[in-house]
Amino acid sequence: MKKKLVALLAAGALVVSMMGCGGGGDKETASNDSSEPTTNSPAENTENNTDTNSGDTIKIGLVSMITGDNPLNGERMNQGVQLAVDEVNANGGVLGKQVELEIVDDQTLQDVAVTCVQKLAADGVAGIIGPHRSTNAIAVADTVASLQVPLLTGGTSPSIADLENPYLFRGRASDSIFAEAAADYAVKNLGAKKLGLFYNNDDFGTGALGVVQAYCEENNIELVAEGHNTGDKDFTAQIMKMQTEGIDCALIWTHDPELAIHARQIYELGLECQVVSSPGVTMSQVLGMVEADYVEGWYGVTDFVSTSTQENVVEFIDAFKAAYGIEPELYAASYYGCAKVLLQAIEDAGSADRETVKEALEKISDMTVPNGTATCDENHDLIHNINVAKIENLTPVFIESVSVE
Amino acid sequence: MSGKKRTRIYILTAVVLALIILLPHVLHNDYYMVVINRILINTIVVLGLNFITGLTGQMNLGTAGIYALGAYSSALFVSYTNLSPWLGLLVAILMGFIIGRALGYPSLRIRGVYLSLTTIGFAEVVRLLLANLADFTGGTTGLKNIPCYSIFGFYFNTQTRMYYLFVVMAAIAFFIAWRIVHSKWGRVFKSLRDNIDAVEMTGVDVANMKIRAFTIAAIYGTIGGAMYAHFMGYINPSTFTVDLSTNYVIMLMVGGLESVVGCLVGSAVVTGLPEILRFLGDYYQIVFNAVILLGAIFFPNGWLNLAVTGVKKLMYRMGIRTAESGGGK
Repeated sequence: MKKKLVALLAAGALVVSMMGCGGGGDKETASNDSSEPTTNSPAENTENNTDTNSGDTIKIGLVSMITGDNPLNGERMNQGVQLAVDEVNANGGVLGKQVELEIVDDQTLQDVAVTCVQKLAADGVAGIIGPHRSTNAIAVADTVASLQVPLLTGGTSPSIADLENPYLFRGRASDSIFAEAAADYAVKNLGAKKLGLFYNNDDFGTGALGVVQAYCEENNIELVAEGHNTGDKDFTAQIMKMQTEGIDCALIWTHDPELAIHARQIYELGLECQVVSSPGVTMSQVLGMVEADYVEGWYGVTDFVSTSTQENVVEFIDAFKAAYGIEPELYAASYYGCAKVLLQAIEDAGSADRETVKEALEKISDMTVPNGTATCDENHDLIHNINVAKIENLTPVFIESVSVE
Repeated sequence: MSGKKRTRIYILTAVVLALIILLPHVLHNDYYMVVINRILINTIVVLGLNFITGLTGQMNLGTAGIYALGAYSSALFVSYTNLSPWLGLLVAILMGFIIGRALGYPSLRIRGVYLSLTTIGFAEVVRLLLANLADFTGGTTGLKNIPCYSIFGFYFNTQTRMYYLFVVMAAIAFFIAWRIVHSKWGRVFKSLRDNIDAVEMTGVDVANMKIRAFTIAAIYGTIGGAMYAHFMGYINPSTFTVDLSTNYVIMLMVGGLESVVGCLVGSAVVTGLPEILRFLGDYYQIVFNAVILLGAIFFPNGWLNLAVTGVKKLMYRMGIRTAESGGGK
């Protein structure tokens, strides 16, 4: 009898522990899980099974990167989105309900990102913000389409728009917009007649090369392009070539360490021309690595400039500093913008139903956010303008906002 | 075996089968199904790794490379030829055979930490090649629109459908691994780890057996990779890092070296536990890693060993098992 009792207890413990496995994901949804559907299998979803958030709160999800390669950037994403949610909640919430934010970590891994999106969808969010990496955004594309949940990413790879996924939206300007804006600024505002392009041989750099080449052909501008690889430490050959060719403006399209070396060598070798660079130069990651003289008077194109004088940006920066005691940067600003756009779309939709939210997102237009003006186009790109900043004494000074059609 | 005992085994099997079949309908949640599918894929890879690291005791830190080649060979074959993913699976198996042979030979001459370094090197070479042969592999942008498995027009395109398919595939892989481990080969593999000189003395072809272990492992790894590619629909070289290889070794350690069931337990714990711990917010990874570390200190033979003792006792009580009936791990 006693033995049987022990066996029974052991079996009971096993069952309870298994139930524990199942219950883990539901802990955070305790407030509104009473009446929402728990199934999200795509087959059933086609029967419009997207009735979400029927409880007292409206829930949105954030796929962030709390662990993995870029935890600091993930931290800023969380803070930006949380600030947007707090502000909206302080003003009475959305559709008269408080907004609840669920943050999940994708470890910057693709299969975990898919798991995260499934989890958020199962927890009944009205829309998802993130994941940030373009590759992760592409990885979750099929999943968001089958779950029919709108997702706003900050991945900037042009290939995201190529997916033509009806549920995928982008809350930052595409890389191709950056490159075109940089070339355009160099030609129209800096009066360049002969452009030089230093580009990284990877995705990011060659993407820019294609865009700049097309721009120059269209506008009859002479272009000298020289490539390099990630990890290269010496660009003397490329810089000397530009000097011989006599360019009036250099575009530099590469990652932070290579950008810093370019800055030093261009200064040392005395290549005299204007410089417009990829976003890195406006951020402390690069500015911390160079002397003030190296980059004095350089221009950088970026999503967000913390010294901007635009009213809404100043407001955002003050609010962010008040909440967290630090200056916001690109990640905080872009994802704050994404959250604001998503919450506005839910308000416009008049319900937290995912399909209507998606339709409302498509209709977003001329909405001011810290990183520009959000207008949804046919590619589901929301932001079409970028900011130009000039580096003065290692501080990016906001010059103007440029938009590209 | 008495009739009564046999009935009990049948009942137990029926209950387990019913559980497996009913699971998606009980859970009714795609999030759980994604996690379970990832566990099933990882199980197959770990079952393979068990042959090299678990049984023959050679540390392989190149699983990510094997996995990547499986994923890419199947996905590239299918995207270029538009043929069925099942043929892609065959290509992946062929790829596994080639990798196993190629990786097995160095293992004859180098061992210990040098072999680990060689396998890491192999995985990194694979990853860099996949990232830089952009015209062929899609480069760092990855490979999109990989079709899912299908049989006669029935598409395994939802998590639940994939679950049933993967359960069958994992079960077959599990059964074969079980049979190999408990065969003459399995015993030779173990003795290679324990005393290689003694094995040679008994007239066993050590070189051949080592290569065989690598080949089986690589084939399991590439099958797992192919399943991953068609499960995700999108692959990218950035997935296949040394971290991933390490993760598979952790799965193996958690489950318990050389134990076939342990592979399932290890992959379930390492894939599933972080998901269960998500409610801890920012701290979930630190708690997860602490749990794994404590496990490594206190149950060096794997968590399964701990559970097995309990289950064995339970089975005695239910009368399914007697002290003499033995049975593997």
